[in-house]
Amino acid sequence: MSIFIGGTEITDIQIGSTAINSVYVGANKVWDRSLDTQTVTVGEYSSGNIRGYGFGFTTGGSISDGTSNMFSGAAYVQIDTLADISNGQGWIVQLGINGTHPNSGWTTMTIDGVAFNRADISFHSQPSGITNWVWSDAPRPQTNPFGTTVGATKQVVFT
Amino acid sequence: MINYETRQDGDVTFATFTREGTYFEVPTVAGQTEEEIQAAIQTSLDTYDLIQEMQGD
Repeated sequence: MSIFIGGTEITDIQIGSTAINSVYVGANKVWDRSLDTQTVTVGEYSSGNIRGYGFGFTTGGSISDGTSNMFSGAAYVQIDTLADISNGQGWIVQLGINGTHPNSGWTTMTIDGVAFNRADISFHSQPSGITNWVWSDAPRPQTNPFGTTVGATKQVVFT
Repeated sequence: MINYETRQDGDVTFATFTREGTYFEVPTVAGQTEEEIQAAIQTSLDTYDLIQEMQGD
């Protein structure tokens, strides 16, 4: 969730020199400090009924700055979505980071305002040296959080 | 039937196992039966295979 003053989003809250990491309203957490923020320029993959959007195996996708603050500057390999558009089973959302990393260090990935929780998903670390988090189990999101506009930019925030 | 171990991460328990060199963690839900956990693991493996197929890996 975001906090705004007027139309300006607040990304840093400090009391004196002490950084505040979370804000609650009553028992409800309404804000977490971002661990990392990336800007993804949406690329597209198309083969038969398979479509993909975001950055990774798409054509034209890119990411800025492309290195993870959660994992000591390791490179993002993919933040993308994938679906077989013929079966209506929804979108698989994938995060891939170069190197072998533990399934920890962050809680939520938010793509253009849509939150995906690490605790809800499968994790795998491949012998090729890529670590993936995959949101795939039913119900998959029916709406692609990256949209389908190639060249659009989407903010991805990790908390 | 996949043999697995478990790892606690806060409120979540992950079923952990390795298949063909790839290490997996699959979230489980409190109260799930063994049959339901095996089904969740199989779904995760099926999705992994589907992604490899979709991406042409």
